[in-house]
This record gives sequence, C-alpha cells and structure tokens, in this order.
Amino acid sequence: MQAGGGGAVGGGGGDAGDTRGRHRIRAELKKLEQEARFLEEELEELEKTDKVSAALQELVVTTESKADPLLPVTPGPACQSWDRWFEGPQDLRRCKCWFL
Amino acid sequence: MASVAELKENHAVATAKVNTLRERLRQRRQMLLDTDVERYSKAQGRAPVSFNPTDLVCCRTLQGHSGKVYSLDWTPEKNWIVSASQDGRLIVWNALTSQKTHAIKLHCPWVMTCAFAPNGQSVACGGLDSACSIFNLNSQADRDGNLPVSRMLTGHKGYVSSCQYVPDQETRLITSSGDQTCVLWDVTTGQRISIFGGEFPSGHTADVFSLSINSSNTNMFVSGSCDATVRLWDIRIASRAVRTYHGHEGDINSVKFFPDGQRFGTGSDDGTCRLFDMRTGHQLQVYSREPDRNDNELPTVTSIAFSISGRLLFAGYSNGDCYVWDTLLAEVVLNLGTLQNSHEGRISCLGLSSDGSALCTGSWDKNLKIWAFSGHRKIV
Repeated sequence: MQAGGGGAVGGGGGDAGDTRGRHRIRAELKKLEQEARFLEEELEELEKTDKVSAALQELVVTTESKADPLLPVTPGPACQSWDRWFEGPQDLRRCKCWFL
Repeated sequence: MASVAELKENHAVATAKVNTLRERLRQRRQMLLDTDVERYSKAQGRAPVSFNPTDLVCCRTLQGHSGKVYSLDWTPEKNWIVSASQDGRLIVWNALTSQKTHAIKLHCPWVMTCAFAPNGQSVACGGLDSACSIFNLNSQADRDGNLPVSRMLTGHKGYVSSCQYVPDQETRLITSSGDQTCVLWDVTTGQRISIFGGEFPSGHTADVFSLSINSSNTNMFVSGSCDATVRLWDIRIASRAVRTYHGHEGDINSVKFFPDGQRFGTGSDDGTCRLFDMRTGHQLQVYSREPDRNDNELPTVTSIAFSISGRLLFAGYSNGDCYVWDTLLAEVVLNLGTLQNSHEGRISCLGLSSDGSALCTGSWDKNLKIWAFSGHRKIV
C-alpha cells in the first residue's frame, strides 16, 4: 500500500483558499512524518527480531499438548460433557427454556 | 511561513520516504521468513489429523430465522447461542435442546453482528444504523412482545461490522466500523472510552470488518480491514497501533486469536487464511485452496474459527465450502460443506462452544447448525 499523495489545493478563494490548503497539507505532512517515525522504529525492532523458525517449536508443542474434543486423537483429560450433544432428551423439569 | 508550493514539495519528499521505509521493512521481513509452519511441522514428522467420514457430524439444525444468518456468538458458559439475521431479528437459542429462548425484533433490520455478554444476561448487536444496541434478556417485553433496548452505543460514523464484549467484563465492549475505527465502550454509561484509528496515524485506512480480543491478555485486540492489513491494539494506548500485519491481498473479513493468545488467524477476500505471530509480526503460514479446475473465481473466506487446541482451523467460504484445515500441516482434512445434512448456502459465521466440543455454523440458507465429534476418540 503506497502512502497517498496530497491533493491539489483548490482554486478560487484566493488567500482563504491558500490558507485552507496550507493547513490541510501541513496536517497531512505531520501524519506522514509521524508514520515515518513509526516505520523507523519498526525497522529498528525488526533488526532484533528472530527468524520465523524460532517461534515454531513453541507453536507445535502448545497445539499438540492441549485436549481437544473435536480431534480423533487428543491428549487428555477427556471430559464426559464433550459428548452431551449425542445424549438423550434432557430432563425437561430442569430445563428453563420455553417455546416462543 | 512556508508557501503552499514548498509544503507540497515537503509532502512529496515525506511520501517518498514513507514508501521507501515500507519497502525496506517488507524486504527485511522477507529475509526472516526462513520457513513456515507447514515445512517445519513436516520436517519434524508431526502426525497428520485423519478423520473418518462420520467423525464430525451435524447434530443439531437450528431453524427459525426467515432471512440469511449473518452473525452468531456463544455464551462463555451454558450452551446458549445468539444469532443475527437479515430478517431483522436476534434469536437466542439453547443449542443443546434447539429451543429458542428469545426472539428480539430490532429497530434497524440491517444487522451485521451480535455478541453475548460474559454473564449471558445481555446481548449486543450492530449494523447499518452505525450503532450498537444492548438488550437485557431478563427485561420485561413491551405490549407488542418486543424486548426494549437497554442501551444504545452511538458515535460511529459508519456501519458497525463487529462487536465483542471484553471477556469477564460485562461493562466493556469493543466495536469495529465502516468508519475505519474501532471503539471501546462503557456499556453502563454508553460513553466511548477510546477510539482506535481515525484521526491518529497508524489507524486503518479503510473499513474495519472484524475484531478479536485476546482472551489470554484482554488488554490486546486485533482488527482486520478492507485495507488488507490487521492491526494490533492495546486498549490502554489508543493513539497508535502496536503493530500492523501485512500479507493479505484483499479485504480481511475475519480475524480470530489463536487459543494461546500468541498468534492469530485471518480470512480474506483473496481466498486465503493466514496465521500471524502477534509479537514479531511474522506471517507464519498461508492456507490456500487448490485452484478450481474450471478456472472459476476463487471463493473468498467469510469467517474463521480455531478449535480449542488450535490444531484445527475452520474456514467458511463464499461458495458454501467449510474447510477444516490442519493448522500444522496446512492440509484440508474435511469439508463440512459436502457432508451429509450440511448447509445449502454460504456459511457466513462460525464459532466454537467455550469447551470446544461443538462448532456452530450460520448460513445464508437461514439456518444454524451444530457440529460435534461422534467417532471413536483416542486419548493419548
């Protein structure tokens, strides 16, 4: 994504038009300068950042160590309530739902 | 005082500087991409996920909306779901019994998003009215049987595309908007606490479509935008985004944090899902479909969700597919869109129950469906 260029200053309006244009361009310039500072900071930070591979061992370990009811093979502990979706009709006396 | 001509020249120089810095950043980041999740996992010999054809089944179909379903959200506890539809209603469901507990007629029928409060006592929704409406589910219905709005959060200058309560905080909610900003609200007063983006640099430069709050660190959230970037925000520092993530080549329709809160996934109009590392900004993996044999236009990704371990990435597409990706090996292990009893239209929204035992999908076919694992489970 490229930084947007400043629009042309509007015609007619003489000095007033020039002033409005000047304010707008100055505001955009300030934004661009701020953004340049942010980008420079990010570049500095990136110089100290590890490569992608450094982060992946943790990802693999974390993913494979957590119990997941939707997986056919998963670490435990399993929970009986995982299978509630396939149990019989609920006890309606305790069910607080009502038809609309 | 500098003349207009001088200012314009300075502006051009500053623009060129920013573009150069962006390109240097892109190149530097490219040099750090020495591998991705797929290549790393395969090199490590990780075992693939393998489903039998009847392992994941549709165990409930929630019927009741008379229009396309656009959004859904589970309660953190219990088995309740709130859904929002083109029919201008929110419906609250007991997903276990399939019963509807509330049907809320909205003042503005053009709803795009809904969310459950952490205590399950309130729901929020927003859309083309550029506002977020809060309904207390315990309040008395009016003469027409409609639930009154308990609070309106107004202030956005564009549609509300997504809303989410801050986990464990009934009183705070974040919205994303077509006005290019996200807002943190105090629900009890209706006041905006912070605005993310907008006037400040480092905000999004196009409509924001989605957001996801980090459940491991609720001070952080990410937002996805039509400007093809994701931005990370610290709710304590609204003046600038913490980080911007580049990579996608189209509108980002969905963002979701990975369960451990260190990474997040995205789904986009460019037809891919991606996994990013929150702390470093690295793009860890791209999940791309095989091109269509008939050379049809690539389906876009409408919504994503991770299983509770993060091993599975569920992705709904504009052509009705719902791919189940193995996130480590970057392979499609199932397509819920082709299973028996599947939806008959585009899947527009997805969400996992809080214990990860069920996936709910919402569709343009007006239904919601609950999917769960019914096969033989091996505990290792």
